[in-house]
Amino acid sequence: MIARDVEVTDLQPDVWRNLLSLVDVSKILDARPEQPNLLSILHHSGKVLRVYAPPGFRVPALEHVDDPQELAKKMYYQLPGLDGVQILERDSLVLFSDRVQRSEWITNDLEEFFVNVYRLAEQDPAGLSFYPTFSWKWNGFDLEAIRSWMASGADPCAYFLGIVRNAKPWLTLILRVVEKKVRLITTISYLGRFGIPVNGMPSSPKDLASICEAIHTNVAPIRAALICEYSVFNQLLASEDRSRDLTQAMTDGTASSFGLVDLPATPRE
Amino acid sequence: MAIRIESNGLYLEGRQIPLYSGSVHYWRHEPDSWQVVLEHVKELGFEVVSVPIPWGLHESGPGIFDFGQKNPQKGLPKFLELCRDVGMLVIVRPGPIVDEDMPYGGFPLRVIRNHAVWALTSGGSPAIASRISPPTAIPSYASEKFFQEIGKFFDKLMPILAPFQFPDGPVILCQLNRETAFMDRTRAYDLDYSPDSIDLYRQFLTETYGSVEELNTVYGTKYAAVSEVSPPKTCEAVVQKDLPWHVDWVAYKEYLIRHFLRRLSEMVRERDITVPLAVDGPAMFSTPVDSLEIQKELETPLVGMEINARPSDYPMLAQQVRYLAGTRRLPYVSRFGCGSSWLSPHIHSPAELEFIILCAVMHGMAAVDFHMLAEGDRWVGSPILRSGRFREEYADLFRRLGAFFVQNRIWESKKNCRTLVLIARSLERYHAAVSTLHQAYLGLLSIPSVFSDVLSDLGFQTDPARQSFQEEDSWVRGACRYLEHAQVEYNLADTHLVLDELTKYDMVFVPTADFMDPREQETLLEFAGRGGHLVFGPVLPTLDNRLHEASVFGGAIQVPGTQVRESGKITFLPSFEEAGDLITPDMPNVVLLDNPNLRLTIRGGSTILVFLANPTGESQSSIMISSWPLRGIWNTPAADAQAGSVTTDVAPYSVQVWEVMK
Repeated sequence: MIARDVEVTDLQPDVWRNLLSLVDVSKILDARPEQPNLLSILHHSGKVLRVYAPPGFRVPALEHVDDPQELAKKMYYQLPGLDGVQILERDSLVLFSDRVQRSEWITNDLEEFFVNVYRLAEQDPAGLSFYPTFSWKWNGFDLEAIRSWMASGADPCAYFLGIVRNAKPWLTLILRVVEKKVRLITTISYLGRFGIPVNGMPSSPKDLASICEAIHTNVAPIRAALICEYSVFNQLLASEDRSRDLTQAMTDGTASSFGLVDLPATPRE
Repeated sequence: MAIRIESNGLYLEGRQIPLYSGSVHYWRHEPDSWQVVLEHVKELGFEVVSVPIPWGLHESGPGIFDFGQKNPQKGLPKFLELCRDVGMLVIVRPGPIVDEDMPYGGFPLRVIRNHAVWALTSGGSPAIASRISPPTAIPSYASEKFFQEIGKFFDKLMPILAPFQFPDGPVILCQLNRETAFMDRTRAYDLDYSPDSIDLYRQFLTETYGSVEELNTVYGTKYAAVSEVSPPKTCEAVVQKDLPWHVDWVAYKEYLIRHFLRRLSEMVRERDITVPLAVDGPAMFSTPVDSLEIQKELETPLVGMEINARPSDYPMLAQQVRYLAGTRRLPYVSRFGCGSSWLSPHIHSPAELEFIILCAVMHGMAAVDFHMLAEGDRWVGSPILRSGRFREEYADLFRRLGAFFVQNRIWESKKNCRTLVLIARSLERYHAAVSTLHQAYLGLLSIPSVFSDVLSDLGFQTDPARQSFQEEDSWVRGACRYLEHAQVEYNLADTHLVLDELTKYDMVFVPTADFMDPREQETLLEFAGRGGHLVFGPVLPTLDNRLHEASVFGGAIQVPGTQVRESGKITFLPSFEEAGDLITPDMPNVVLLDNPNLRLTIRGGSTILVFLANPTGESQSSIMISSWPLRGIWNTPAADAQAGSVTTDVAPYSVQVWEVMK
């Protein structure tokens, strides 16, 4: 999804800070909840070596692991409040690390190698047992859904996310996709290179929409854009299926479902 | 030599200039904007610019290099000419590892995909650096193939750089490599098990023991030759006798880093680079990095340290700079994040940047290179934009700081510090050696860190691993807390610091375990004999590092308490709960505070400056008691000199500076 040599440039500090308040950009995958309540059991060929339970959880004495998958599931339901249980065989951990580093690291996508790490972890259920299994989400978005949506657009194309707060632009994020990969991540400062005044930024949602024309001309034809109020975007993030709602809202292009502005006509695939 | 390095910067043919610089990535700016970028760097108060030179950028095919002949944006010679024309001095950074958010760490993919170049894990797989821009194989610091490839790059690059050296040109320093700690893969049994590294390991054992017989005596083994020895792949120590084999592997990793840097320095020197060398180092206190030995080996005090801190990281930032100040003649932060990575969870505001820069200065930073002073790719919040224009709110901070540093001769001053806390190399090596599950990527599975601890009881009176500087409850961390509570500023250094450096302090704290190098003990006793106060604990060492009986401290003191030794004294202190008042009345700062949440240091030079930091998220108020009037010069409520005591409110995460009107 994100090309390995992606250009990330002209990021306005306040805009980037605002983005970070919504999503953790550095996160590859929400494999686990933040600071998880995880019960971890380390064993060697079935003989239990170490048990780590989060504070407040009492784990029954355990000397041997026979069926790690079954045990992980059993413990998870036996100890309500746990985020997960993992039962790890010592040699399997060593093998896992080895397999990861023998896998293809010359990847085309920034995230691919790390996604593969979790895939490899799931491929040895007898040695590395997790209950429940990994979530495969990125900041709550379904990773595969976002990747396929990005790959399904016209080529090249651009995406624009404009969020307005207190009648001022709060987030102005531009992505350029070429050959199905994100190759540019920037903010509207980037448009300054083309003589477009960005210092006196438009202050209303309607004005912000005019930015789309400039993106269309100087970055790539806009495939999708979403311009909305901060509160509306927060509602979207709170939805149960945020991937579906975000891609739907952006693909609609007009953001009209939020009753804000109509975008100028932009090409659609 | 036309260039000399002193504790207050560089001397160029006798002219002192502070080592106060920022990096510019020429290839990330249009050549048309180079001049304006450099002029703006100068306008912010910098006389020196640092220039990383990514190998992978310039090598377009095997043996084919472009230094601007085809792509003007790669025109390094033109850029250096421009630096000279604009009047900027230059630190060149030829790598070979530059990183700088370049794909594959800045290496040509051709080189880094070659198996003969790789560092190998204990499982035999290539060690893949877990950085996401994008992942790359880590080169082996012992790989002869890697050195051959570096040689080909340097053959092309150095003839370009050589004519630009001072005094004929603007280049005043050549800074080698980036970080040099296995790209953050520093755990003992993770790497490097490549064939060239194993050969070097055996060379290290031969140099250490002299003969296989001596090695067998220490290891309790029956090897016929050192070439039969294989390194440990995890901690298998069950009894004390098993330890030297493990600890030697940890010590070898320090040797490997030094070997790599020495080879690089030789390669540079062979190609007519004569300006002083510098090294960029990681933000580490101990093994596998041994900054004292690197300085000796490369004959340069400029072994830098990288610092990327958030305001809430103040305690760590202060320790890093104290360590720099305690171990380097010129405490040099070789990469100070001037803004934030796009993947950082925190983007600095100008006020936060001001706080961390001034905190580094107050704890002893005397030279600095700001990373991405001019913004390139994948970075947020530099004072100069990619186009060359200023980002005003950040540029304003650097203008004000630059003027403040010049006006108050900051780089000519030194932190007042008479107390030193030592980090015991032998304990840090032990801590590294006695651990397990060192494999990479296990962290992604959220494996509890306690699973890495080895539970064997090796029969010591106190667990040496618990006495590592990395352990919060260790004696040495207790020493730091004790001094901070007493408002006594201190430096940090390693136990193998030479006597001449130790005697610059009045008081030295050193952590001990059952074993300790007898030479280090002798040096420390000599320090006490010359009038210093040596404080050690929690136990009396009875063994040397090879676990032979040896009791040097025991010859001077047997039981907890304080004893006079010639003109100094020795205190054996098992715990800081029993410390009482170790600080003599003349030792605290000349300015005192009544708020323990604030931190205070003093820099003295032609003027005496008091730095007062509030490293908390709440506003703090304090009375400052001083024998002399104080005049506020940075961030202070009143600029007038006030005598006796001053009440001041310090905003959250901010630093005030006061001048002592003596």
